[in-house]
Amino acid sequence: MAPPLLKAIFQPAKKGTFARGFVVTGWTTGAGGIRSQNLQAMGGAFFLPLTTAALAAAIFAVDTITDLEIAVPVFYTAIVLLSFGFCKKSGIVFVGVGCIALTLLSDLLTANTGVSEAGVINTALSLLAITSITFLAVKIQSSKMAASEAQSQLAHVVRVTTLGELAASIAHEVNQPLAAAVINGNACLEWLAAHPPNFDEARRAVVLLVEDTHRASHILAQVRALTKGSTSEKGPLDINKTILATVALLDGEIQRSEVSLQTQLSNDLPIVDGDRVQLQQVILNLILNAIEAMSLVAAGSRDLVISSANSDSKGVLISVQDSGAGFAGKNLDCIFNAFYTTKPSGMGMGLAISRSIVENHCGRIWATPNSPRGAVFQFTLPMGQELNA
Amino acid sequence: MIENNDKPVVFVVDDDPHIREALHGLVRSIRLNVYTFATTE
Repeated sequence: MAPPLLKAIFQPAKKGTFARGFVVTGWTTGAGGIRSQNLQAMGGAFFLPLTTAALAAAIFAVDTITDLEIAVPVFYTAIVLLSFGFCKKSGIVFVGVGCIALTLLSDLLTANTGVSEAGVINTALSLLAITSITFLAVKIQSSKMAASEAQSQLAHVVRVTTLGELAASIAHEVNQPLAAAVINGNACLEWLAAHPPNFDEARRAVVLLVEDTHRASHILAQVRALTKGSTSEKGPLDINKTILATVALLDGEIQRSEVSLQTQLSNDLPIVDGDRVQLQQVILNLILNAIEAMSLVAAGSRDLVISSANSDSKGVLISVQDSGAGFAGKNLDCIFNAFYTTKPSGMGMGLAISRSIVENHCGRIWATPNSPRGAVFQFTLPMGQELNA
Repeated sequence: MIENNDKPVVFVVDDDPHIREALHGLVRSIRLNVYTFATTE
C-alpha cells in the first residue's frame, strides 16, 4: 500500500477542511478524527473493506506464487491497520487472525517447494509483526472508544452546567420585576390602610404593580421565543428593535459583568426579511462571547459597542465590538467551525450556529481584531427586496 | 437635600430602577423619609 494513501486514511481529519454538505455524525479525539456520512455517500462504506480484501488477496498471491526471500506476509500488517478504519475491536482481532491464517496457509501451500531456514524466519517474523500490530490496533481502538465516551460525557456535563447558568440568569431577570410587584402591592395596602386612605398613592402603586407584572411576562415571552423551535419564520424585521430586545434580555448580565455598553444604531436602515428569534440568537451569542472575552480585563476597560449601519451591499451591517483579549494565538479561519473552541468549558457551537443562521439569511459573518485590543464580530443581512420596494 | 425633621430616614441603594421606585413608595407609605440611590458612590 502506498504511504500517501495510508496517510490519507489514517490521518486525523483537519477542522475547517470539509467540503460543503459534510454531515458530522460523530466526534472522536483519537486518530480517527471526525467520521462523516459523506464517506458513506461516496461509497466509502464498501470501498475501504473491498480495497483491504483485494490487498490481502494480492499479498497472499505474491506470498504463495513467488519465491522471494523476503517476509512478504509482513505486509499483512497494512491490512490490520486498514481494518482499524472500519472495524471495531472484535473486527480487528478477526482481521488479524485472518492474516495469520493466510500466512500459515501460504506456507502450507508452498511447503512442497522446500522449507528453507530463511522462509521459516520470515514467516515467524511476519506472524510476530501481525500479532503485535493487531494487539496495538486493538489497544488504540479501545483508547479511542474510551476517549470518545469521555468526550460525550464531558459535553453532557457542559450542557447541564450551561443550562444551570442560563436558568439562574433567567430566574434573576424574572425575580426583579416580581420583587418590585410585591413591594408595590405592599405599598398599596399601606396607602389603603392609612387614616384617611390615600387613594391616589394606592392607585399609583397598583399601576406600577401592573407594569412590573407585564415586564416579568415580557421577559418570559422573550425567553420562550429564544428557545422556540428552530424552524425559520422570516418576516419584515427592524434589526434595531431586535438588537435592543436582545440587549434588554442581557441587561442583568451586562451590569453584573461591569461592562460599559454603547449602542450606535443607525436610524435609516432598510427593513430586512428575517427570523427575529434566530437573529436574536446570533446577537445574543456575540454579546455573551464579548462579555466572556472581557471578563479577564480590568473592570474599567470593558467596553462593548453594538452598532448597526447600512452595508455596502444595500443591506444592514451589525457589529459587536469588545475590548477583551482578542484573537491572540487563535486561528481566525477556524473560529466559525463547529467544535472549535478556545474556552475550557466551551462546546464550540455558538459561532458555528451563528454562521449557519446568518448564511441562511443570505448574509455573511466574519471577525476582525479590534484596535487597540479586543475583537469585532460583524455580520450583514440583505435588504428585504419586496419590503423596501 | 435631606429633610431635617424627627422622622427616621431610609436610604435605599439598588441598581434596578423599578425596585428603587417600588421601595420608595413602600417606605413613604409608612410615613418615613426615603432617599434612593443607584450605587453607593
